[in-house]
Formats: sequence, structure tokens, C-alpha cells
Amino acid sequence: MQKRKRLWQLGLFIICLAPFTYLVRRIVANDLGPDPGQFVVVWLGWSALSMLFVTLSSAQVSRWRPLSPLKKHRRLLGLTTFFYACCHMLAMWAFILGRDIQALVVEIVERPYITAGLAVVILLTPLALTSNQYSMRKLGRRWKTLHLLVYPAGALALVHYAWQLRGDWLLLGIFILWFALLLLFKFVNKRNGR
Amino acid sequence: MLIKTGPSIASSEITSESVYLKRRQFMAGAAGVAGVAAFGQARAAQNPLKYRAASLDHSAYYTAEKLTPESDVTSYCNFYEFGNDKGDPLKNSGDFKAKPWSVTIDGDVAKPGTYNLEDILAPQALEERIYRLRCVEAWSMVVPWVGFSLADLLKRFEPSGSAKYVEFTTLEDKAQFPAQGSFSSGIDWPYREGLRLDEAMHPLTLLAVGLYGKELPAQNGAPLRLIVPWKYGFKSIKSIVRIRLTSKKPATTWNMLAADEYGFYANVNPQVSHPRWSQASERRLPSSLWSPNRIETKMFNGYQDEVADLYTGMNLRRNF
Repeated sequence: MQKRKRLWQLGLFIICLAPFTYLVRRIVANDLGPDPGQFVVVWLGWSALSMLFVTLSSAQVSRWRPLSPLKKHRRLLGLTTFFYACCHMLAMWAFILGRDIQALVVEIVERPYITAGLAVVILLTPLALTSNQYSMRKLGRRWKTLHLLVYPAGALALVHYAWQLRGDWLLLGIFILWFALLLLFKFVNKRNGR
Repeated sequence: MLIKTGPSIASSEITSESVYLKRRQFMAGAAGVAGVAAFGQARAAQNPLKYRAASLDHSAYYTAEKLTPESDVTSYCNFYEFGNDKGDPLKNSGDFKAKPWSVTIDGDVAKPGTYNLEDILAPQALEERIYRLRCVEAWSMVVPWVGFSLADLLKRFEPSGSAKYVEFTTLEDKAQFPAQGSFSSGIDWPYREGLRLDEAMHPLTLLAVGLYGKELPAQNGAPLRLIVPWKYGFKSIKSIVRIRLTSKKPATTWNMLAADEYGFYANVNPQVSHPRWSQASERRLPSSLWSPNRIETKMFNGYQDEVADLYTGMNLRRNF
């Protein structure tokens, strides 16, 4: 049993880090096109959003028996999301704003989509900090309530994306549908007392 | 007058040596398999054009700023007819046919009609213009275009007194522009743009048929596109099939999609932010990770001396 858990952990770890490994490979190969900063930031943003939705889905998906071990690894998924979100934000500051703190403050205050993005990271921070066994024991039932914050974080992440949209709404539509289905499943399962 | 005659110089001489050498390396490599693979897709080379090279004399037709390498100009494009990503136009333009091409010139002109592109181009002497290109997304390039003043063309078709605006239309053809068939695109095809007649008649306003001394590649708006260097790039409509003179302000694509974000004028203006981002600075491409190459954006993209007169007394915050 322990061996199977390890295998799951290893597999998930590789999947979680795949976008990052790919990015590092492209950076090392110096193969990011004329606007590398933009590429890195957008890539990390997509990675963060995708991981956030994988994390959100894991609770529902793990009800399906073959995927039930996923439930034990939700911390890894959540922390990976937080990792990509932080990298995304840091990359924006380092590669787009040229490590100018003042420019970052101006962007946060004046650009609603950046404010929304920052809010996502702020909401995810206490979740990452309390993802350890100690906090789970210490917080007891409140831990579960606190970790419901991942849902507003998901909604705000979609707002952050929607406010940057130009022209084509396909991917946003897919994510909104995905989010709506998650909420629906959560509601239905709760009513059924599961 | 803007045009000064002087020693003329080929763009190859203006291109910095390292860039030029890189290009030569690329061309050498293209002969081998590796070079072709690196470019993603093998394409027939664009035909070279005959033109008068940009003048080193101080003139708005020329800037000594470092050119954006040709491979970047032709691989990093906003051309939503081919897809939303910057790499899509190069990737998805394989079925585009720039020849044969015809352009309809109609509306308030004495000589309306549909003309073969060859006939339109025949009397026009081509010249090179090295312009800054500022995208509304806050990045910019420096590109050596080849073309001629739109004013020279319009005069040939004799606009009437009632003509106040010029409307431009891009080709609509799902077979050649795959993304025009996308169900999730918010854009109402065909792409449309417009200028006030005095803007259209300004000597800086260029109809381009080439870049870097060769015919325009599909992804850059072949075979005929507009270049209005003091306006955001989306005004510079590509693959034009219709030029219409009109008394009414034409509807323009991005304005139709989001009127609060993209105005009819769309003059480059560092003081007027896009609702979602600042226009005070831009990233001059190519940039690198550690130096984003952020520079201050200039009023009218640095063409203030030439074009500010067009907007005397206008509130540029309201008419953005």
C-alpha cells in the first residue's frame, strides 16, 4: 500500500513539475522568441490556472474509485498551484517590469486585472501555510472552512483572465463551464450528505 | 517638406553587424535541414523588390534606431485571421494566396472600380521607410517597410469633395484565413479600419508591399497593407481588398468589439492609458529576460512634429 502511495506521489510530482521543466528547457535553449518575458509570464499564468483547476477538481474526481488515491495527494496539487502562482507574479515583476518595485505598485493599484491576480495569491497564501499536518490538527474543523477559500480564489483567477481577454472567449468559456460543474457537483454531493 | 534627397543607404547597411551576420547565418542554415526546422515551416523565399532605400538624412521616413531582426518581424505578429497567438500567423498562413490580388476602390471617387494589384502598383515608385511600430499591447518594433504614400494612390482615383474618411477592408475568406471560421471569436469579419481623409493624405501614411527589401510575407499582411506609424498597430490593416472613400466615419473592427478600449483615432499617446494597462512605456522587441528593454512611449510614437497639426484643438483624451 505504501509503495502504491509512493508511486502515485512520484507520478503526480512529475506531472506537476512538467510545465516548469518545459519552461526551463526553453529558457536554457534561448528559444522563447522576441518577447521572452511575455512568454514566461503567460506560460506560468496558464500553469497556475490549470493547476488551480486540477486541485479544485481533485476532490470531485477522487470519488471515482480508480482515482481515489488522488485524495491523499491534494496537498501536492495545492502547493504546486501556489508555486506557479508565485512564479507567475515574480516573473511579471522581474521580466516585464524590469524589477521595478514602484512600477509594480502602480500596476497593482491601477490595473484591476492585476489587483485580481494579486488577490488570488493572497487568498492562496494561508492555504499553503496551513497545508501541513500540524495546522490541520491545530485548526480542526475550521481547517476545512478555511480551505473553502480555494473556491473564491478560482473565481478571481477567472476574473483575472477575463479582464485580459481580447477577441476570443473559447478558453474562458471552457474554464467557466468547468468551474460551474465543480460547484454543481459540490452542491449535489453535499445535499446527498457525501 | 519631409522628403529630402541625400545619400541613400540600403537597409543592410543600417542593420547592426551582429544582426546582419545572424541573418546571413540563418540564410546559410536555411539551405540545410536544420535551418528550415528552426523556422518551423519551410517557405518559398519572398521575391526581392526594387525600391529607393531610406535616406540617412534626418527625416521622419527614417530612424537610426536598431532594427528589429527580420526573423522577429515575420514570426511575432498579431493577425487574428490566422489565430490569436503571435506565432499563429506564420504557422497558419500556408494556404494564403497573395497572387492574383485585386483591390476595389470605390465610394466618393471619380474613378471607382476593381483593379488588379499590378495595375495599381505599376505607376508607383517604391521607397523604403524605416518606421517605429507601436502595438496597443505596449510592445514595439522598428521595421524597414517598402511601399508608397497612400496619398499618391488616392489622388490617382480623384476623391470628390464629399469624401471625408477612408475605409479599408481586409479579405474575408475562411479557406485562406482559418480563424475567420472560429465560432468563439468575437470579431465581426472582415476586419475593417478607417482614417480621416487628412490622416490618409498625410505623407507619413504608407501603403506597404514589402519589408526588409522583399515582398510582404503572408503573416505580415501580404500583398498590400497600411502603415500609419503614429497610431497603434491595429490601425495598420493588412491584406487590403477594398479602399472606400466616404463622407461618414467608418466602423472599425476593434472599436466595434470594445469601444471603451479602442478608439477610432488610436493615436499613440503615453498620457492616455488603455483601460486595462498603461501606455506610458513599451517593450522594444527583441527584449531579453533580464532586460525587458522598457522605453518611454513618445507622443504620436515620436512623430509629433509631423502629425500634431492634424489634431489641433482636439481633446485627445476623449478622442482616443
